[in-house]
Amino acid sequence: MTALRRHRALTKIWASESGWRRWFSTVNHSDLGLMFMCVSVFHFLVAGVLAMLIRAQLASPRSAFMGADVYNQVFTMHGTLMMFLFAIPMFEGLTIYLLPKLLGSRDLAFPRLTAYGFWCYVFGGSMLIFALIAGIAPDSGWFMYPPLSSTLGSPGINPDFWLIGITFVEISAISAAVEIVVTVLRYRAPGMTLAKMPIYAWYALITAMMILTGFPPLILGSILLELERAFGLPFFQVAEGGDSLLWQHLFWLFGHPEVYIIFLPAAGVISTILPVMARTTLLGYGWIVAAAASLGVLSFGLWVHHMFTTGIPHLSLAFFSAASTLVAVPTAVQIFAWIGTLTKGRPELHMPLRWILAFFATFVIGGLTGVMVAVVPFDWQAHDTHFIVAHLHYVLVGGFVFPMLAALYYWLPHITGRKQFFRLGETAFWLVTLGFHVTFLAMHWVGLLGQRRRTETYDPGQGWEAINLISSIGGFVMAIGFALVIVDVVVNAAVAIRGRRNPWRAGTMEWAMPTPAPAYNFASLMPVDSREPLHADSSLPLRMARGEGYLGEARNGLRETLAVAISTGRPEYLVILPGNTMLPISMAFVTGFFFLGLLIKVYWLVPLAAVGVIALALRWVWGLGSRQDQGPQEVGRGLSLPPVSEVADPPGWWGMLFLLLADATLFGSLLFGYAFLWTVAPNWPPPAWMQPDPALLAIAAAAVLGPLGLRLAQGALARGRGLGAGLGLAALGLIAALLAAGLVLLHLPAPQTHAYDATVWVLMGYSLVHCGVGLLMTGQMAARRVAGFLSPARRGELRIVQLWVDYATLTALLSLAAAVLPGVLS
Amino acid sequence: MRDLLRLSVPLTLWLALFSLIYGLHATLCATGAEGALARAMLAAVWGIGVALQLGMLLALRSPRFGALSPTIRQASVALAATALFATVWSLFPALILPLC
Repeated sequence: MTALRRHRALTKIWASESGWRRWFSTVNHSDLGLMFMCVSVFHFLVAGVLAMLIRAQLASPRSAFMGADVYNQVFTMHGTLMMFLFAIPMFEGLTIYLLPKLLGSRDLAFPRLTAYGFWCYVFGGSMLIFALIAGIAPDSGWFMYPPLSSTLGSPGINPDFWLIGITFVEISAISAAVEIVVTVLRYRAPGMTLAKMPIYAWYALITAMMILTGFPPLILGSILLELERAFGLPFFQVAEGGDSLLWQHLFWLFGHPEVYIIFLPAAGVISTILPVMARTTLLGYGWIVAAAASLGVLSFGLWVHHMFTTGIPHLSLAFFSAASTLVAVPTAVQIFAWIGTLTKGRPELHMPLRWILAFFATFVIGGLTGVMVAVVPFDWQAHDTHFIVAHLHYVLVGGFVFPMLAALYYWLPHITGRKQFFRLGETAFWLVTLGFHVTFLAMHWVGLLGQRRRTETYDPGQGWEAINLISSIGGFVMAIGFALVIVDVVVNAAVAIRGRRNPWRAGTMEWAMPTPAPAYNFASLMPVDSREPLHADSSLPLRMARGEGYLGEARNGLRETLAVAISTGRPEYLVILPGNTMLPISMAFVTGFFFLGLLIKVYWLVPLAAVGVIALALRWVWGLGSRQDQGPQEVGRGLSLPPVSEVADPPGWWGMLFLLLADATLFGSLLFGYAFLWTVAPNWPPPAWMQPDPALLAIAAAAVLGPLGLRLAQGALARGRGLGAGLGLAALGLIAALLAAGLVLLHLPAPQTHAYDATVWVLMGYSLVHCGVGLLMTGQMAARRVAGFLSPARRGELRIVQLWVDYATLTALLSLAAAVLPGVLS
Repeated sequence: MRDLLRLSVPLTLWLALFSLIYGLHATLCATGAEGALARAMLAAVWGIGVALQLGMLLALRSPRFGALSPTIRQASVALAATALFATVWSLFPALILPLC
């Protein structure tokens, strides 16, 4: 088969649908990555307009441009859109687009999940944009501190849009994170060991792990605050044993890692682009991996540095102050490695390098002011002033937006297949960078002079007028610069001439394909044993196109790719990926009704939507797998591999494992919140503790039948026997856990009574949901066994269900123990 | 998978120690236990933590537990050294500052 015929045959299999249906049914990672990025840029533009409104308001004292009510909505939405609807989705979009290409694979691990995450992001973001247009946008600041955001401070619907909309959007972040982790670990080019991975893959892996462990505390906080607002569960009400500081802990447990979740992908972009621009290799690859991983973990020990002024004991402040200074070290390791890379190469000043140099100047200043505010006495002075606003913009714009602009100019020829022709981008560069520094250097100054943030106006005569005016002028110059960037990109994408492949002479795999990228990425999957495969073998693109790698034949109309061993990159099994489908958008739409019902308080819609989601999820899973054993399949180059349905650890098992990691973080955050309220909050103990009841304990003990039953079912399946006994026992165990949680709820006072009752109520609700889902999954296993999807060779999906049931049972028992523990101790 | 564990365990241990000492300190202050026993408990956790981190660093440098890939070996040892330093530095205030 010629390369052209192969291209046509593979395109027929992998292409998205034509016409308008393409946008709704595509599961292709290139399409979805670009769609993610376009929507995130739309949110960036809206948030940028809001920023200009803020600067217009503050340009002069006693401005009548906006009243306090509108100003509150504007600055809240500016921060919310930038953090949740631009920065994180931009990372997701870029990574979804790039990752399989960098790794030498044909697509991500779970293409339908990518699409589902995208539509959740679109629908959740639409809720917030609607609120903004309707004038009922969140107005309590982007971190929504209660009591300002509780019904006492905000009785309207405004904060509900934030709490529900952002939780909806975070489904996309968790989906993308699971997707990225499993893809990096299992979907690489044959032979690509961990140590040979492109550096961006390390950053993506670390960032995704941080999303899985960083977002759940915020999801939990949002659920608790919404439960308080909607039903009066007093998690943050001091009179009933709650504490508003609990929100701050949960928020910043997410919020500080969030800063690094935003910075690390940008650092990955720099580590990828900088060596290419400097015509050399990256200095200190291993050190950079270690530094990025250090940042990823250390960032979880810093959250209290946002709470230095809340009256926490000095010793606790010292822990977090020390950790905050510590985090500068791995950041500096990366900066020095990048500077070393520049000095050992012969840098060429193209647009991507310009933006990276702007990053250096800006981010280093932001990092240094970060060390300043890590020092507790200084923070007490600067807290809640414009100095902090300036610091965070230096970190986030310098540390994320500028590297993303470098990425845009670097990968634009890959996306469009055209070469940069017009030079508008250089003018835009100077406008943005000069405008930025004028705006925010001035803001440091006015902050040190005492101007508070989140205040819509100020009186003249305090020495702030000229500085604010200069800051506003700088802001508008920067905005003009960003507008020019967009014009430059659109014009270049639309009318510039066709460019040649690999215009930067880079060594990474994404440049081994024609541009724009074909739907299948690579015509065949070549073995890779270098971090820069194109430099190691310049004939690689040609040999791939000729089908000399694995899976070089388009066969049976199936979307085939390979999964590899985690460390060694040895090919392990053949994966068949799903085709175009409307299922993800349908499921996201129905999920939207679940959240909409909560938002507009039409509660009958909520269970209805939940049933719809369950039905679609069952439909989603039913189509997976195979009804017959196929045995090893020929994958080319003389190798035969088992199909994904016949392995013990299919990608779904890994996906479930990392999903449960996020779930366990949410559960751990709930236990942390419980311990915090119990030990720190005033007005404890509650009127009554729950007492351990022997009957309840006996029922709870029966919950262990769940995991036991599934293990019996596993053994029976391996021997080719019936699963009825094992699955029946598992169902009994799960019903026992459901019963135990239900009994606790029946005997508990109303959850509005005290924060203890509210917490136990949530713990039991958590158990009910997890054990209920476990029961559904067990039932589905029985149905799939009858339908012929399970056999001694095909038992991977039973192991997936086993993971869930083990987790559900463990957390149900822990929840019960946590509920009765104070009663036992008292 | 073992390489991932080599890379991730030392700093995860630091995170666990950090949470443990922070939680222990909060509990001690909440229960009014501010005496020598409280200080000794915090110091003991700190000491055990430092010893564990040191053991981890030595293990990852050894041929038996260290990674085969030079890059992974370098990164895992660097991460273990970072975790040891982080444990000493970020939790050291538990030994010297007033408790509550």
